[in-house]
This record gives sequence, C-alpha cells and structure tokens, in this order.
Amino acid sequence: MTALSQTRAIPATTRHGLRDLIGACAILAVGVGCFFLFPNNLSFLTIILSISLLVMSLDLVTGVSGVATLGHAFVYGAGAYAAGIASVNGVSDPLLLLLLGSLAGLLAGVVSGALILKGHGLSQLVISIALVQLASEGVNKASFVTGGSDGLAGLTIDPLFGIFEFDLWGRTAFWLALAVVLVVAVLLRILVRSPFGMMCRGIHQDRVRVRAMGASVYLTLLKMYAISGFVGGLGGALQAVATQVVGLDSVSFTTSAEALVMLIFGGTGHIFGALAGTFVFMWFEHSVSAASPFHWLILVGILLILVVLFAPKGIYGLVGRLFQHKEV
Amino acid sequence: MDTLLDIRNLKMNFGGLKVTDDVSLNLAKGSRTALIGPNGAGKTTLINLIAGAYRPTSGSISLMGQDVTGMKDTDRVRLGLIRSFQITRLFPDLTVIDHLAMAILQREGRSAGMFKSYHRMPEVLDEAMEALARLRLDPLANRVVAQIAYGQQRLLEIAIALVLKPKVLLLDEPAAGIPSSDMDRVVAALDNLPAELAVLLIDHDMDLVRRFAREVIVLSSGAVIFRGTPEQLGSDPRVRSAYLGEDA
Ligand SMILES: Nc1ncnc2c1ncn2[C@@H]1O[C@H](COP(=O)(O)OP(=O)(O)O)[C@@H](O)[C@H]1O
Ligand SMILES: [Mg+2]
Repeated sequence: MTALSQTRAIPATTRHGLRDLIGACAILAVGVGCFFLFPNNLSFLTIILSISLLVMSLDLVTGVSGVATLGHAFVYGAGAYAAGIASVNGVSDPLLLLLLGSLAGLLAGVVSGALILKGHGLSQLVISIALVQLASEGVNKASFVTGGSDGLAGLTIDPLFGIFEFDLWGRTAFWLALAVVLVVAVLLRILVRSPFGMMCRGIHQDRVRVRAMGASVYLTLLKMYAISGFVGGLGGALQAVATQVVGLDSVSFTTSAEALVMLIFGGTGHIFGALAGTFVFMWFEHSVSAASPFHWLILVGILLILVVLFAPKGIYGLVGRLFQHKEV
Repeated sequence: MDTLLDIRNLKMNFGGLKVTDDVSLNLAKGSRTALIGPNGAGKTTLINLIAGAYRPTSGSISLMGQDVTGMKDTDRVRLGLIRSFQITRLFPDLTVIDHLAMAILQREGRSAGMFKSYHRMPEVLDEAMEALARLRLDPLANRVVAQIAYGQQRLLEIAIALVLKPKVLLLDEPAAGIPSSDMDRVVAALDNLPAELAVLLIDHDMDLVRRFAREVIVLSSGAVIFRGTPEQLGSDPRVRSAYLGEDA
C-alpha cells in the first residue's frame, strides 16, 4: 500500500524526469571526474564511450524489445567503416563523418532487422551471427576500400567546429564523445518511455497481446532496429573519428558478444544500465589485464558469474535496490 | 439487415481432429450472443479463427460486408473486431494504466510517437482512468500487472478490450477466474456496453449467460448443435446430452 500511495503522490512524469536528471548528472560527473583523474587514459575512455553507444543500441533491440542478437557489431562496424571510408575519400568534417556513420548504421540496422525479425528465438541468433560474420568477411575481402585486415589508419579529421583540434591526448575526442553519449542516453530514455518505446516493451513481454491491440509487431521492431542501427553506427563513427583508425574488430562476432555481456552486466532495458555496464566492464577488463596479464580472463569470468548469480538485474538493478532501501 | 459479422461454413482441423466443423453464424448490430459448450468444444478456436489468429481450412468470414477471411489479425482489429483472451495476455512488467494508454494510443494511431510519454497527455490519462474506474480498477492504476491478483488481471483484460472501441467484441470466458465477490463488476461492464455493439460471449456461468444473451449457440465437438433463446436452451435434448457428465 505504501508503494501505491507513493507513486500516486508523485506524478510519474516528475519521477521519470528526476531519474533522467540524476542519470545525466552521473554521466557528466563521472566523465568530468575521469578527465581530471585519468588524463593519460583519455583515448581509452573515448573508446569506452563509443562502445557504450553500441551497447545502448543493443539495449534497444534486446533489452527493450526482446530480440536476441549476437551480431550487433554489424551496425557498429557499418558506422565505423562508413566514417573511415568517407574520411579516406576526402570528407574530414568530424560531425559530417558522425552523421554518415549513423546513416550507414541505420541502413545496416534495417537490413539486419529485416533478416533477423524473420526468424524466431534461436534462429534469430543464428541469423545475427551469420550476418556479422559475413559482414566481417566482406570487409576483409574488399581490401581496396576497407584496407582489409590492416584496416584504415591515419584518418585526417578537421578540427571540431573548425576550432578544436583532435589533439594527441585525445581531449577534443573525449569531450565530443562525452557530449554525444550524454545526449543520446537522455534521448533514448525518452524514447523508451514514449508510446513507441512502450509498444516495444509490450512486444518483448507479450506480442500476442500487442497484435490483439492492432499493432504490427514486425514494423514496430523494424523501426526500432533502424533507430538502434543509427545509434550503433554513431558509436562506430565516433570511434573512427576519435582514434583515426578503423579495424576489423569493429565488425566482429567477438565485439557483438562482448556488447551483449556488457549489457547483461549493466542491466537490460534501461539505457543507463547499458552505459554503466560498458564502463565498469571495460574498465575492469582494462585494469585487470594490466595487473595480471595471465589470469585476467579468469577474473573477468568470475566477475560475470558473480554478477549473474547475485545481481541478475545487473548494476542498474543493484543501484535501484540500494535506493529503494534508503527510501523506506 | 445490419449484419456486422457473418461466418459461413467455417472448418478447421488440428491434425485429424475436427475442431471447427462447418460453423456458420452471424452477429447483427446490437446482438448479444452467447457461445457455450463443454470444454474442448472448439469455442476458443472459433474466436481465434474469427480474430485471424488461425486460418480456416475452408469457409468465409466477413466483417461489415467485407470479406476478411485472408486478412491479417491486426487489420481486423483496426476494423473494430476486438477479442479478449481466455488465458490472460498482459504485460507483466508494465503498469495497469500503461496497458490502457497503449490501447488508446494504438486505437488512435498515435502509438508511433517517439517523444512525448502518455503521462503528458491529459486526454489519454483521463480516458484510461475512466476506463479503469468503470471496472473499479483505478486504485491499481500504477501497479505493475505481475503484482495484482489474477481476478484483477481478468478485469484488466476486459478493460483493454473495451477501450479499443470495438464494433464486434469477442469475449472468451471473461468471468473465469474472477472471484464471485467481483462478479458484479463484470455484469455491470457487460450491461453498460454500447447498445449497437455486437457481442459474442463465451462463458460457463449460466446465470451470466441468461442475464446477458438474447441468443445462445451451443458448440459440441466443433459443430453447432443448438441455436435459440436462453429460455429454449434447458429443454433441448441435444444440449443436455452434450453436457452430460460435464460440469458446466
Ligand atoms: N493449437 C492447438 N493444437 C492442437 N490442438 C488444439 C489446439 N488448440 C486447441 N486444440 C484442441 O482443439 C479442441 C478445441 O479446443 P478449444 O477451442 O480451446 O476448446 P474450448 O475453448 O471450447 O474449450 C480441443 O480438443 C483442444 O485440445
Ligand atoms: Mg476455451
């Protein structure tokens, strides 16, 4: 009963807005904190931010909409290579490259969505894996544009807004990435709560009910795939712009699988969980592999098992639980 | 004749089993028809066929004069053919009011909006709360469905069907699982349905059927064995034998 009166006392809009605000502030605080605490790790932090866009994009289709995929790096790679190839061919404005990458991601999202959504359950997984493997192999073979297994390196990027150079320490890239992630995270939170996002959550939970309301499951999910592709492509392009390198790993099965692990680690369906999962997982992996080069995979494995056993809703669920205890 | 739903010679098999055996029926504007019959008679299957979840092996279904036999289930919903489920189909992690808002938005073609949450749409909120109030579910509006009692979920199932503004409404055992203390809510909801709506009601509760229906159809082993008024029902020998040994 207390829960009921509480929720009625505070209108839902205010609660949601508050949560978004806290989340945005947390992202900003962690970002700014990292900038000053780890000035030598800025390019690694920028990669984390780029990958977090992939994980958030995965959250849209998997966490929110319930479509299983192990090939989501397809959209990330599409964005990275689109930006990389455009850059090699003379496009050097960073924002334009991000836009091109996002659009390539959107296209890749629609293609993979159209194929994956034709399957069900396990066959969706198989299609998604096949897709990313094919894409990876295609990129490898098309070395005349993609650089094959060497990738594309030494991209030249103009200063941001014509002012801020992409410097050796990666400051500009870091701030750009932080700003992009902040804006995207808040927009996606709004999206998930919107009528469209609610429909996708409904599809995740019972698509028969959704159809009985008259909504098309396929078209709705395809749209979500397009948005997800856009966000994932943006992430790939961001990494290309920030590191000035594009490699085959951006479109690999391994990256796809890791993205899923990070999502589960952070907590599915809430966007902020995806962000937290990426950050903590990659940071942990990074520190542990530096401290213990021979045993780090074991430690990462143990951490994952602990999370799945003791925090099945991931970091986001854990934090949510802590706050609930405090309120009572 | 204001026929809204016209079903002719519908047939459907599961394997060798004739689940729908040459069923014809029609619902006119304002009709209140009860579909009864023992468990396994094929009542739910018939609703699935009408709603478009299953395809019939033969026969035809027309809705407001339009042949919909091959039409997708979602398109039938848009024409105003709404069904409820015998086994509740809801979104466990969404709130009660989320369900209503989603149905309202979908009905109005606004479910693709990507920015504004329905919490900021007073007209949607008001309509959703009103629909809940009619079944006295409004105190549960912000509760997650997984946390409310099964009987309340059954009532929500009805509320969703009604808010979709049906022209033809197929209710599959709406009262099953609702505690007798709450039956008055179902009765009131059925009494207050718009007069011109055509309703096909499946239920085992004979009091409810007698109160509600002006026409009764009895299905047994997939075939229609009786068609008449509730008053004629008790005296029909075929109906009695179909129910023999059944706890109807
Ligand atoms: N999807 C299905 N596959 C196979 N047999 C089914 C299926 N659905 C229902 N049946 C069978 O069809 C018959 C009619 O079922 P149903 O329409 O649910 O009956 P009722 O709703 O009248 O109790 C039953 O014998 C049932 O076992
Ligand atoms: Mg049934």
